[in-house]
Amino acid sequence: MFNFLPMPATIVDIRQLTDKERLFTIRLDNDRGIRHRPCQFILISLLGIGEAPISISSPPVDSGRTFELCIRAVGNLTNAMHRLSVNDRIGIRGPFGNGFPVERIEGKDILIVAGGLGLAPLRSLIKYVLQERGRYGRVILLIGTKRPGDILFKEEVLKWEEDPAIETHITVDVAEPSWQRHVGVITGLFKHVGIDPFKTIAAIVGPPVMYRFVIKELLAKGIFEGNIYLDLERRMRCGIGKCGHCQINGIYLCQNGPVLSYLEARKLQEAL
Amino acid sequence: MISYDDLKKIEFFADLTEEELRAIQQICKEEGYRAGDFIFREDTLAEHLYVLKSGKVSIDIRVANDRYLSVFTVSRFAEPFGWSALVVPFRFSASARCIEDSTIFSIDGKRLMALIERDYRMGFLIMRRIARVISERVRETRLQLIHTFYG
Repeated sequence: MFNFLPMPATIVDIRQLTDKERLFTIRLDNDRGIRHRPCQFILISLLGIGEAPISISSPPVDSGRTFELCIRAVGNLTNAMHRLSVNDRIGIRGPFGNGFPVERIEGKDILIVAGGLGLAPLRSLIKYVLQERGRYGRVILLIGTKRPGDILFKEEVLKWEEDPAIETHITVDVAEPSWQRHVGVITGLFKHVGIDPFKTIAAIVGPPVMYRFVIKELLAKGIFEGNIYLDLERRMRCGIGKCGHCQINGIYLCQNGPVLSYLEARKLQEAL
Repeated sequence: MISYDDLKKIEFFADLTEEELRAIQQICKEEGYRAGDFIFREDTLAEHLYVLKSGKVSIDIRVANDRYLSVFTVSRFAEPFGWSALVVPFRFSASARCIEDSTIFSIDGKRLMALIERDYRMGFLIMRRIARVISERVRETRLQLIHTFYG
């Protein structure tokens, strides 16, 4: 773990995922792995520009020497990242945060709800669970985006749709007539999924507006508040609980989060 | 005409008595459509209410002369669509296009309205279900709008 000083790293591959998102494969120059847990994040630094928190999209098992970051070009640093090429060098601190409690949910059914860019951190969890498939019950994946062209990791998602190890349902808000899958908001997919509320753990990552409506559906299905996990990654700055940018009440999300159960999150003003 | 047993499985009619269901049975038929077929088109006279038996139907809205956008998918057994057949001005507000080979229960709208006029209890129960369908679509549309503007 590299908490204070950015470690030099090299971009070894760049793949265009959508109009706005690219997948960067990064290798630390010291050749040590990043050793992360699903849903942890790192801080990328670019000289003269600054730092930004980015979720790790690859699973821990894959990350022997490299790891993957899905980056949407929306701000100074992320736009600058999109201007970089293979072999360009960046700084990395982390991984930070608690990550998803993969040990606690062994033997349970997992319902993964990914809205838009939320699939980026959840991909690390999905791929981890698929690699360790025997340790979990049913794995149900609900993906929602605005349009078909916004679906991240499309090739993998199409493979998951065919894979009996994971029940994948995709919806978009609006689509051209050639789209053959579901159209409607992500909560509409819950009607198509039967779950056992007593053995289901839910993992939700998406735009803030999505949480309220998805949580409402999950609670209506009878899932216990403590079994609904949310990734509240935002406003991360230092990653080490010093700057206070990510503080909500007494919690530093960069350390005690970003993954919180709804039981914890609902007590925090501003969390949802 | 569809079988009484099939009709009983449709949640939309779950509140009705056997006698009322038998009356509905007389005005309901099963229709088969191929993928790509239109069941109805936007802004045409809404003469039937539909209930999905199997397959998948996209609800499309015309956004330009030859350009349609899919805004909703009907894919659950017994999911009703084409509610314009029971609501003034009786014109479809969208098109319904099969995206898979589909089997649909089609209920004659005029004759259903006539049944409703004759039996207010049954009318209330059917319109209550229609209100629920419309309310779900409105809620879904609001969420789509929120997602578009604030997501």
